[in-house]
Amino acid sequence: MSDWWLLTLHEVLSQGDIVDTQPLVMPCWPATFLARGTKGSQRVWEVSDTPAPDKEDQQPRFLSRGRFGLCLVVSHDCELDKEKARGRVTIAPIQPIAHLDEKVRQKVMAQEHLAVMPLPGIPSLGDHCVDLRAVSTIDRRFVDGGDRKAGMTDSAKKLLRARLVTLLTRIVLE
Amino acid sequence: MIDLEFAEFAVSAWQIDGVLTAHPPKRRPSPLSKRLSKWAGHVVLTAGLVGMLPLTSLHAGGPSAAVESTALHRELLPSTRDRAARADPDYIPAGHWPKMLALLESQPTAPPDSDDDYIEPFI
Repeated sequence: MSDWWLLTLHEVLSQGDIVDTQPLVMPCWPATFLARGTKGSQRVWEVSDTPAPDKEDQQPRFLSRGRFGLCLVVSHDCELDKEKARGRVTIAPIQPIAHLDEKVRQKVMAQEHLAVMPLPGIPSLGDHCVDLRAVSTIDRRFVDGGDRKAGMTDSAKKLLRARLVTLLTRIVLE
Repeated sequence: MIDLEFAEFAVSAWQIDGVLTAHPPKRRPSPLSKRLSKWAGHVVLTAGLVGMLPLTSLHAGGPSAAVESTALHRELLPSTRDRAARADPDYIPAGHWPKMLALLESQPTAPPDSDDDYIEPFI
């Protein structure tokens, strides 16, 4: 077990887990509403002028952009194991730290960047970082069907929690 | 003018009364509770002095109704879990704002990230 990562994953989904192939999305601006339609014999999504409730759940559909990729589970364990709270999981996107410019990469690795937290040495993945400005909530079924790559140690989880507090409040927990 | 010692006693009295009235089928008010109930008006006053309570709703509903219908119940009445957690000297009951604010205000603050260190959002 390293300082950051467990040697063996927890049996159940936990805060600090790294999960692959998760929807990382942002609604497109301006809003583009969609509605079910048909084109010949094919079922299609058509642009709608107004938000229209979908037949499946009465919620409107709209266009988003994003990708399926690696994420960090931000939800607390106490949320993840509650039966009634199991429907949603809060996640944050991660990417290889090599994608950052050298100057900011050093700051991120030195824990000097509030919004982007380093995730050094993820087993089999290497150095990554997580964007805590881009936290989003997804359907739990995505995560349950995803590929859990790694899990944070308790110490690393505490760092994550402290970083979330500092990012949102600017209060440094000492 | 109410001194601090009296204020602490009065808030404690309010807590006892609230606990008992919150569970009428299980517990009957004790003689102590009945005796303390006459302090209710003072309790509202002293609770206001500590800062975070809506006095108008407390006065309007009477002691028991006010306890159950305002934040006082959560602010000052420890739940079973809170009482168990009292063994931990660092434990802060949920919603205990005076302590929480003092704790937060004692912490240093971090400067925001510099524009020079801007990183494009990952999404």
